[in-house]
Amino acid sequence: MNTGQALSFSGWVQAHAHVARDSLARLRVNGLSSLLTILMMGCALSLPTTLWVLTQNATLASHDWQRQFSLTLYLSQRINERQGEQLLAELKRDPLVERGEYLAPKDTLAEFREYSGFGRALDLLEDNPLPAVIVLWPKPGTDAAQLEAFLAKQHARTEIDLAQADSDWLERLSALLEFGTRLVQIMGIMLGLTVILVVANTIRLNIESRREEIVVMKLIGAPDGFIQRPFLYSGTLYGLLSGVVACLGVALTLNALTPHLDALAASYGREMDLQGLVFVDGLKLVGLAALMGWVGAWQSVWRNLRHIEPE
Amino acid sequence: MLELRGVSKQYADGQVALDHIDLTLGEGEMAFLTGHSGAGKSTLLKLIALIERPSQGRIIVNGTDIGRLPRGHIPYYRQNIGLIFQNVQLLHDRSVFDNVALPLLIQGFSPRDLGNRVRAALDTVGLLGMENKAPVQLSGGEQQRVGIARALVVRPRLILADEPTGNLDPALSADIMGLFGRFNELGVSLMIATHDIDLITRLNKRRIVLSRGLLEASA
Repeated sequence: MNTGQALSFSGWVQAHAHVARDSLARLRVNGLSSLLTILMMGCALSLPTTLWVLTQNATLASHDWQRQFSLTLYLSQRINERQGEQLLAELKRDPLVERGEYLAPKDTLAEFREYSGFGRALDLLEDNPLPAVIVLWPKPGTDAAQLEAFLAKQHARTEIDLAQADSDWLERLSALLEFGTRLVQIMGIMLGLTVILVVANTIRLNIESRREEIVVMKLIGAPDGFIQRPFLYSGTLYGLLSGVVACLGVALTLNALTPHLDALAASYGREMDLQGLVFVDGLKLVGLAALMGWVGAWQSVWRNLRHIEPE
Repeated sequence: MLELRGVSKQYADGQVALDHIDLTLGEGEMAFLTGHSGAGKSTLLKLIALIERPSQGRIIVNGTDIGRLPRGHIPYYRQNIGLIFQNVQLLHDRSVFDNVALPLLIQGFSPRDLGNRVRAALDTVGLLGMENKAPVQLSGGEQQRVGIARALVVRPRLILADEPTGNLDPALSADIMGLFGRFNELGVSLMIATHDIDLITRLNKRRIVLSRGLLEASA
């Protein structure tokens, strides 16, 4: 029994190139409907991708902003300057701390005098009532729970009267970013499934419209793999082109959003340098979209081709 | 080459299309399958082509009981036989060349290597030079020849033809039958279902007569 001629590698490549060209030609023949399908899939993919890019940007920005915020430890009055410096050296060894600074009571008074506007009133005081202060800057990426635990630990020290951080807004941002990441994941899964189903349905319609051709192929001995091949290529092409459309969609959306995001960041006294989809991520998106197209086509041919037999 | 032993076919609605057929077709033999409409000619060819499975009995082709072939092996079995139909079943969105090349592509020939075989097959049926035409640009007889070229391009040892001249005028029918006679001279076995008594008489080959699913005569 003949089981087909063994193909050389170049013959195999030629055969696949032939089918790929044929599939591309069929997409062109069905120009408008193919274009609409690809645009719909591209839009579906660009939505979670845009959200992902925005979340990534916000996460990066929050790291920068975290670099700028500090913890303030108010030392007990009985701690002298040497003990304060020793305490700072100890705190700097903590893995959460990036850098720190010791401010002696005279320094804190000078700073208070400069910023408070109570210069003259302070001159009336016999003693400096302000404590020494240690200011710490945590490492980027330190989350709210870690900071809270760190502060509680410092608060328990006898050398420290009060430990505080103005990190409420960062906690809210962190929670918002967590929510955004989850949203991107859920939307990515749902819209990815939508893309797979759209390809599956498009390929099902292609199979129906080529039913007679499939029957002829089966009559002259085409195995399932040969009959499936053009449909799998079509599905993969749909996915690949929709990935390219999604990349364009993300670029256009971010371009339109940039001025508004700049204004939003400025209202918090911050700057935000919006980064678009980088080349490697764009390639990943196109590759993932092609894979989804292939999966959609595969499940469609698996379900529909076996029901078509010569009669 | 081909042997049927006690082959019956009963459809799901209870209709018996073939009833205990015993038949052989030797290597290089040509036989006409005749009988009235509904006699079971097409069913017999469908069973040999594995388009249908027999309800009972064995069909042996080149020593293999094809009734037991798993579904996945059927395409490879069909690659060894040439099937020709009354309605030619060409792919109308492809050229004559591509239609004839299709079985070779299926068998794994690379697109670059199949040109000579396709042209040789088209030359055999007298259509060399029409490679780039679309099937709709051809007459009914020419389309039937394309179908024959497609069947013989894989150089089958067995050709099954179901009313291959059913839609053709007498002159074209004679041409087509002449082609079959030439293939037979080259050692190809043929089983041809036809109503055309004139052609059968002219070619003077073996006749297998079916009547209501029963083998009436084989001589």
